[in-house]
Amino acid sequence: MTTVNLHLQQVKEQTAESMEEMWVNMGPQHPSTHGVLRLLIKLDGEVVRECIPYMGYMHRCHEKIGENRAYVQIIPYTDRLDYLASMYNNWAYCLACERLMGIPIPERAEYLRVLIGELQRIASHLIWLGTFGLDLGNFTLFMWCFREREMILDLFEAVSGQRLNYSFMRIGGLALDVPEGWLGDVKAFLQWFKPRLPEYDRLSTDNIIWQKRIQGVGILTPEDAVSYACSGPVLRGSGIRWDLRKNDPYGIYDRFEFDIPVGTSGDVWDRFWVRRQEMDQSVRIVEQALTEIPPGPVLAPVAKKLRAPVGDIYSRVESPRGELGDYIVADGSEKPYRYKVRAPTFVNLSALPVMLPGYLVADAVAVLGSVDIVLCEVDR
Amino acid sequence: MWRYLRELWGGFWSIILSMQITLRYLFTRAVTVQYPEEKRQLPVRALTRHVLTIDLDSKELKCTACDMCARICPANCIHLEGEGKGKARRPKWFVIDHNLCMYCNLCVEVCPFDAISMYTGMYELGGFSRTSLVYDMETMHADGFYPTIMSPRSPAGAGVKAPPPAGAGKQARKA
Ligand code: SF4
Ligand code: SF4
Repeated sequence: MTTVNLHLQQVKEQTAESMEEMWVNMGPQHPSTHGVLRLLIKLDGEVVRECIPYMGYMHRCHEKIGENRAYVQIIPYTDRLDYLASMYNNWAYCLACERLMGIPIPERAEYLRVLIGELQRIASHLIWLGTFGLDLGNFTLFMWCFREREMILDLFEAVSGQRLNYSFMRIGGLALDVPEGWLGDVKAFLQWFKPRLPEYDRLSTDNIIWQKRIQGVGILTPEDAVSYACSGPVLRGSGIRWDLRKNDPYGIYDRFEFDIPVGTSGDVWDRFWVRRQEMDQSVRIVEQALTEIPPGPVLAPVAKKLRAPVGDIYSRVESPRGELGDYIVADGSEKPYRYKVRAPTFVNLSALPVMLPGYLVADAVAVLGSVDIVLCEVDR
Repeated sequence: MWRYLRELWGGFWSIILSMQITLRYLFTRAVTVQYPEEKRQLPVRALTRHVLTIDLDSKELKCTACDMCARICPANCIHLEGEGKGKARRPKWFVIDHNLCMYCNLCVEVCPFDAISMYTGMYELGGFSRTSLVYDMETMHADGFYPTIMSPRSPAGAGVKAPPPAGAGKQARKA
C-alpha cells in the first residue's frame, strides 16, 4: 500500500464516512454544456458513477404561448425552439397545420423545402461538429465549420432576410420564392463545400488523438436507445436504422435517393461518424433537388384567417437532432386548443444518465457534446 | 513499451499532418470582415428596421391605418390610431416597439397597401434606453424609395436597388 492510500485510509477511519464518492455540479454556467444545463454528477475519484440532468432553466412557455396565438402567428415562435435548425422547426409546424387543415402544397414549394431543409441539416451538423471539436480541444475545426456554416447562413439570408430565426415557411408553402440566381449560388456553395469535407476528415476523423479520445466512450446500447425513445443520430449511432425521411416519408423525400448511415457500437465515435456521413447524404439530396426543381408558385392559396377543423394531429419530421413532432388539438377556432412539441433533444438528453456512468469525468464533456443538445428546445 | 512509443509517435504524426493542412490557410485571404470599418453588402431581403413607405409623387404615407399589421403581429408591438374616413383615412400616430419585434415579416406580408417595409438595411439600432427603440411615425417615415415585397425593384425597373448604406440609419431619417 502506498503512502497516499495509507493516508486516505486513515482519513476515512477518522471521519467515519465514505471519501470515495461525491456529488459535483457541472453547470448551469459550464462552458461546455452548450447553454444553461445543470448536470449533477456523482464522482468516484475521476469516474462518473451517476448523472442527473436538471433542465428547465430556459423555459419560455412555448406551448402556452402557442395556445394564445393564431395559427400563422405561431410560426415565428417555432424558430426559437431549435435555433440552430429554425427552418426545420418551421417546416415541422407548418406540415402539422397543413395535414390538419388538408392544404396541398405546390410542387416547387415542396422541392424548395427539401433543399432548404437539407442545407439546414448541413448547417446544423456543421455547428455541432465545430462545437464538438471545441469540446475536445480542436479549435481549428470549430473555425472551419463556422466558416462554411456562415456561407449557408448567407444563402438563407438572401432568401428569408434572417440569419438565425428565419420564419420563412408558411402554412401552405413558403413565404416568398427564392431570389433570382439563388439556385446558382447553392450550386457554387456545394462546389466549395464538397472538397472541404475530406479536409475536416483529415483534421478530425484521421487524427489518432481524436480517435483515441472518443472511441469506446459513452456507449448507448440499442436496447437502451429504443427504450429511452431516442431518435436521430443518437439512435442511428447505436445501430438502429430509423430515419423518418425513409420510414415515414413526409414532403417528397420518397423521391430522393440517399442512404442512412448507422453506427455499430453506439459510442461517441459512432454518433460523430453518423453525423459526418449525413452531411454527405444531405449534399446528395440537395444536388438531386437542384436538378429536378420545377417552376411554379410557392404558396398555395390559403385563407387569410386560417381555421382548423375540429380534430387533432400528430405530425413528425426528422430534424437534424431527431424526431421533431408537433401535436395540435383544434377546436374549430383560429387558435389551437392544445399545442405540444415533442423535442428530440429533450428525449435524447434523458438518455444521458445511462451513457455517462463508468467513464471519466473528462469524457463527460465529449459524451454530452455527442448528444447534440440545444437547450432552447430542451426547455421550450 | 513499444506500443506506448508507437502511439506517442502516431499522436505526433497526426499533429504534424493537421499542421500541414492548416498551414495552407496562413496564405489565403481571410473570410472575416473588420466590422465597424468594413460593412457587408446586405441582400435586398435582409429584414431590418421598419419603414413606412410613401407614394413617390405626393410624398404621402401609403398607410391607411387599416390595423391589419397590428392584428397579425405575434409580439403585439405595433400600435396605431387612424383618423379620417374612407379614402382619406390616415394614421394619427403609429408606433412600433422594436424591443419586442421578432423580425418575422408577417406585418409586411399582410399589408394590403404595400405601406410598410423591412427591406431598409438599417440594422444598427443600438441605443442607451429602451424608449430609444420605440419608433414613431416621423422616424419611420420613408424619405424615398424602399424595396418592398410587392415591389422589390426600383420604380424605374432598372434592376435591384441596393438598400441605402447601413448606419445612415436613424439620424439621416430624422433630419
Ligand atoms: S397593414 Fe399596412 S396599411 Fe394597414 S395599418 Fe398596417 S401599414 Fe397601414
Ligand atoms: S416583424 Fe413581426 S414582430 Fe415585428 S412588428 Fe412585424 S409582425 Fe410584429
